[in-house]
Amino acid sequence: MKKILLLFISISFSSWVAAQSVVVRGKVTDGKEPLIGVSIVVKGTSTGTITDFDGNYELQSEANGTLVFSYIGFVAQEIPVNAQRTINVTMVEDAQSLKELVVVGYGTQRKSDLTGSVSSVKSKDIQTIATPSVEQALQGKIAGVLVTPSDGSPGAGAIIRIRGTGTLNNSNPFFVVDGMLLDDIGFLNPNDVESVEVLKDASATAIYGSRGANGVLIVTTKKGSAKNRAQIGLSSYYGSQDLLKKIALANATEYAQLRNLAAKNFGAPEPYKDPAAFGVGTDWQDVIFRTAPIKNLNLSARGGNDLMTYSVSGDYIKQDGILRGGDFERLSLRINNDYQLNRFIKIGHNFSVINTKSDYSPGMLYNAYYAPPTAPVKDSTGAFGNTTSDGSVGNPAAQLFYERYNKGSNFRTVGNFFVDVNIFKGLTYRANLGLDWSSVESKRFVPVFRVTDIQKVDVNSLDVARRKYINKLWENTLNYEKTIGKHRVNLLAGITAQTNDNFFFIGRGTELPNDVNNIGGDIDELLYLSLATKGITVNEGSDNGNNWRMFSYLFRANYTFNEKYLLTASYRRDGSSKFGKNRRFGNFPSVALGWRLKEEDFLKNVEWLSNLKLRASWGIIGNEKIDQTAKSPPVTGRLDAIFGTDERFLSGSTITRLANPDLHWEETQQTDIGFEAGFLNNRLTAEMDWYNRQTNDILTALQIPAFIGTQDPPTVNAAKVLNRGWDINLGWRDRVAGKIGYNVNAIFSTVHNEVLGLGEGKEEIFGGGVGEGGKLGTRTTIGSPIGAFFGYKVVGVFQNAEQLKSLPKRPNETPGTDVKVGDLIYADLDGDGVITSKDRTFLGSAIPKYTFSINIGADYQGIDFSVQLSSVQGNKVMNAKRLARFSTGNFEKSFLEGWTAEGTSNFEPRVTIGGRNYEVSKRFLEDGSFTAIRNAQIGYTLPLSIAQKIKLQNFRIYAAATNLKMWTKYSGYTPEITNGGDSFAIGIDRGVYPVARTYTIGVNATF
Amino acid sequence: MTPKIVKISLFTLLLLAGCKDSYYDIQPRGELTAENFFKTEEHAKVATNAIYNVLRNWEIHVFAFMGCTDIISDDADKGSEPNDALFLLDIDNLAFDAGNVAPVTLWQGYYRAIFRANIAIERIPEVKGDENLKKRLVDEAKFLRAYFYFNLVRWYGDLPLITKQLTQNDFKQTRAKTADVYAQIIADLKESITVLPEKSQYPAADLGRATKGAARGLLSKVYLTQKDYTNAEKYALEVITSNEYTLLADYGKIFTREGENSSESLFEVQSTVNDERTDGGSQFNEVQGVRGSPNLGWGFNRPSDAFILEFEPGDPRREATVLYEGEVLPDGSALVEKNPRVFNARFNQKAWVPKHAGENGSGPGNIRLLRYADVLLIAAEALNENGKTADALKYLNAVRKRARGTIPNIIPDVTITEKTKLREAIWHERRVELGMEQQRWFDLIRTGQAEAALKKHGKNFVKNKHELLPIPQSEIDLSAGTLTQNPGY
Repeated sequence: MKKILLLFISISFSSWVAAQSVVVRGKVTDGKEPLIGVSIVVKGTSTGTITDFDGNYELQSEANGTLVFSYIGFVAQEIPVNAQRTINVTMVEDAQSLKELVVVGYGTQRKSDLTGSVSSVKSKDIQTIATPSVEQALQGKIAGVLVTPSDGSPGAGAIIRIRGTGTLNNSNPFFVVDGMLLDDIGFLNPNDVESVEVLKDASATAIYGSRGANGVLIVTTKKGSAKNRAQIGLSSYYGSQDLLKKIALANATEYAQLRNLAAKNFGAPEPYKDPAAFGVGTDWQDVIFRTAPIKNLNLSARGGNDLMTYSVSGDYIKQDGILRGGDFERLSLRINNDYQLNRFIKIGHNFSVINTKSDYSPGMLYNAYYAPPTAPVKDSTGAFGNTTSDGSVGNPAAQLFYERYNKGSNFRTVGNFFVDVNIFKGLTYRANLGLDWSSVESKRFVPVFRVTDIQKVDVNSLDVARRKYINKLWENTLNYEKTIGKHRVNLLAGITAQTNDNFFFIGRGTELPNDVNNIGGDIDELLYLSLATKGITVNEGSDNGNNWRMFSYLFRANYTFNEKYLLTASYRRDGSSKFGKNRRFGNFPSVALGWRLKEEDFLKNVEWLSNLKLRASWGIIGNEKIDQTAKSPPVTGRLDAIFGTDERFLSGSTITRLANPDLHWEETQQTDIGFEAGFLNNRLTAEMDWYNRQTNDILTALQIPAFIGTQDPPTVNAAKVLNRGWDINLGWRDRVAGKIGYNVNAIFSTVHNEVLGLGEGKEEIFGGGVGEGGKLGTRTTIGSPIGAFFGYKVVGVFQNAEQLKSLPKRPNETPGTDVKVGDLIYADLDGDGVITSKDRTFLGSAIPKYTFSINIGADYQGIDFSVQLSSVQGNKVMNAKRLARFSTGNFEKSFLEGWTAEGTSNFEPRVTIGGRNYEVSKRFLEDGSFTAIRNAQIGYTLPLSIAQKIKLQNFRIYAAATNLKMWTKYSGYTPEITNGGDSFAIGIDRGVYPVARTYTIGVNATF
Repeated sequence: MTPKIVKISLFTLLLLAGCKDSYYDIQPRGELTAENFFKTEEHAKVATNAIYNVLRNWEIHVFAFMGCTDIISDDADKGSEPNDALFLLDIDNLAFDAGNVAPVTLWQGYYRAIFRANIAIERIPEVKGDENLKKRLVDEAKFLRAYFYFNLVRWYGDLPLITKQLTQNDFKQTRAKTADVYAQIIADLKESITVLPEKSQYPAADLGRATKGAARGLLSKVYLTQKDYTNAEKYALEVITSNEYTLLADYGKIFTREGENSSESLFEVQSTVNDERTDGGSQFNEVQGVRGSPNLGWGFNRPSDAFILEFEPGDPRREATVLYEGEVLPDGSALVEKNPRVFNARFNQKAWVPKHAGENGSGPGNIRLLRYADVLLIAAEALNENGKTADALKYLNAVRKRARGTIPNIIPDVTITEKTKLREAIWHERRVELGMEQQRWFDLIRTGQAEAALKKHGKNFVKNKHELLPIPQSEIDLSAGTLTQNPGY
């Protein structure tokens, strides 16, 4: 061992001494002007630099080394040093970046050959946002892709809708990470991501067949490069998160005034003699929210040579929630290596291990919104303040204290192993084995406590859930590439199989030993179900699982003639256990054409036009995220019967629902017509697509007569939804006087969402509970968007007795008792003189009419600046928390503008606690449009000369702000309300965890 | 080149490609589905139990059931607070339409029950197991299916006659003629009679299952309803001569917890609740329980004045049937206090149960569906129609004798021999003996007394309309024109 070490040292030493080192200087230009930021690397080493603002560079190289010059949009050059001291280089522009590659399904394609609609986001753009979620980082970056944070809780992901909401059911896109097929990417750390490709049209997604209908996101993680020796990277940031905006709630005095007013309006005595005596009282929002840190540290080592490349990274992120009592922590490790075994065979793996821990904050938003500001957080005795003086609202601080133990953890391994065999020139075979194994645990403990009569728990309880997900993928593909004269073909064929096994255990135990020291679940060894003296009964625990299998064939052909005419055709056949016996296999074809007009003789010499391509595609794709129980419903259990003299329970279970052997995927047909253009040396780029996307065979409950006798109506493929719109992307990049580089990228998208059918005999789907009394806020009908808001139109407020007498009211409403002056006048739409449920109508939709974003970047002498503006327009929000008044709770300040006498208000009624003015109506519908500075960042990169002195290749520090500012008329925390992606409840604000504003400072260094 | 790897991979490819249908036939874990159910004897048993389970359901024997048997008749009023469950007030006043909740609920509930019975009848023969047991289970299901259809056909007349699991292709159904529905009921019951054991032949653990006696008794009632007195007599007498049943000496005892499955019980819905499980009961007791104090119920199904007046002087059955304000509860635990929100409250004492672990929501009392006294009166009625007056009187007086008990000078033996008079005496006896046992409406319709009796009771009975309930409007809408409405609705 010692000998080997010695040998190693001596070799290193001798090579150090033997190598003749020289300093090379020079200038890099494009023939006219100097080029800034050209990367120069000594081939086979980690030594490198970039050109400064005058295009000059300087670096040390071995005298016999080779310098590699590369710059985006230009052809890379390799120049041997040959002991020269000065090497000036003229870079040649890569004609329209001909060979720029884009990742597509099962391979890569030249960007110029692309016939489908594919957008790329690079690592640099993903890492600008301080978030643990790659999904959130994509917000406002891609035309046609609406990314909405699920909510603001720590570690939250995002709801992604590509080109509208494709179905009444699960409209989430499909994810591919380094070839592994997945339904989520919550495990990914943004620092590991090299690029995200979003496949939008059928030509791009049809290769994923029954999983392509809602679009596909392909994530490629960072790999080592064979050109470089070790590059050690360190990046870290620290951020401070806070609430962007508080809801304007009444303070104690205003609350007491409103209570008095409400009592007076009801005809009851005023409860508060002297409202002013309360002062401002308690601001419960201040009690539950806090300024919370977010920190991230990432270390990586990447490099390689001709035999292997490696990339090892470790990442730690901790995000505390701005709502007290919650945080998220994730530690992830990733190893992406390739090994060239011989000339023909390469093997490799992309492998990551992730451990996340979440502490969920109790849902205090509801209580903080309604708790009377007259109540103290704690009273003079130190006990939690009584918030129930006027109604049944819990004390949020007590909730935080007693219900704080709610934790989850996830241990997950995601990765793939592959073998590439180069069978002969042009033909390669790849076997890919993917694995996603995750083990999730959650525990919730509620101790015995008593704050008030309505906020108490008499019997403690422990809920434990353990889930295991094992997802295995086995893919075999053959790829053939050949160019013969003007013809270029690329053929792909493959067979893939995937299995998914899930196991769920849920247990609930009660009456665990009470321990004063364990109120917050602080003693771990007491949090096990074996200690429960009651429960885990059959009704309270379950142990089950589900699984599915899929087997597919896939084919694709790309053909390019004369660099002008492009044809792509693909076909996938999916067989899945999720589908019924009669429809086991689905076929998903697509075809696309492209025409690179710029290559035609009549445009070839048009100087200002650098690129013009027309493309059109059509295809059929599917959505297999369907309720697979519908094909063969589970037997209904616990239908026990009693028999015998001793009255014993005998187990009963039977089939109570109908199987649907015809159950199958939801099928989308998408047509896309678009063009790409570049002007002025591609400084100005434009891409525009029109799409028409119709989903048929959407799963819906069939309305059937009751005599058929099923417990639930069978689920059938019957509904239809249309999404149609434009995606536009405009980019401008330039460099002023060679010094100030800047770029502007604007994206614009529209979606027209319309339900075309709901299945035979079905005309409407009510949904979107507003949180009170089973009232529903949306109605989806043929011709409406999915989840359109539905309720009464408000004409005004009854100003006087005359109006009260003459204008339409609800039947049974006696003026003066059931309805009074100051109440809302609802519109009598059917003109029958009374207000009935038939007078309800469509009030608007939470689906935006259009969205746009502008990303601006600039750099000058090492200082870089970027800002992103995002705007969502035309969407409505139902302020359900203002609507829902179960009992007397606090009011929003807007109640102060309520009607008090004739002429005081014609939109806000007199103050009441509940009743007729709280129907789902336009009163509670607000404009959810907003424009936000999603991100702003300023950074400084140390000049290379200085960096190298401290042995750094690159060193950048920055300060950034995420969600810096939002302009919106909406009164709640945020108009971005997803309700978990429930298409019937999007935009219904029942109290959403607001997304934080985050200020960060960070550093990126490469050694 | 390394062809080996290629070979291995290609081989694997072929293997996978060779996957047959079985590759996709996987089942969820920890759950049975239609595909792996009905494989074992155990499955046959639990599927049969699941039909019995339905007998305790809200839709089958609780709220709407009270409504469309007692409340709709002249024996009971809606009860409860005046504004509670207004749809039942419409039932009470014969003011209901095709959207009324009660007929909608019954229709849905009974067809769901029939679905469970059909599944068992269709699929149990597939399972591997004891052939005799399988036969018995199928015939228990047939007995239950016959019971469900018997109630349905009496309520609605012509019906979609569903005797198997439907597939999407046969969702369109028309109403089968009443006679065809009865033919199916009779066929099911006749088969049950051949296979099902007598009550005494079942082991104690199976108490509560359908028996030969129950099938015979129900069949005699079916024939009586069809006015086939020969067969009604035949099957009622078969029950009597089987010597399986005797009248319980104390009439009042029948409806206590101790009186469950008494010697005169042919079929009753088994219910129980205990400290461990409260899901073995039904809301039968609750909806008819005392509203107010002591509060164990909702107070629906209030015995009417007319019903109380029907009793002969001193008939102890009146006190055993009606629970009044101010009366001591049957278990002596408390007084029924006056509830200011209910006018002149009265309750169905036959549905009363003492305090139990199920509290509100799940009562432990069995629901008595067929008693020996009922069979004796069926026999009496059929025998009278068949001219066998002496035998008719024998069975009628047996019922009266038991009611009389040891009290002298009340409810004397009937001695009428004139057919019409005797018929009326038997009908009177049915009303008081089976009062508040959800029989009255069916008897009124069956005997043609409905119009006169209900008009006398102040209800606007419309002839050729109110004999039948309306088919739920939603059913007619969803059937796309294949279902027709009953006349008058």
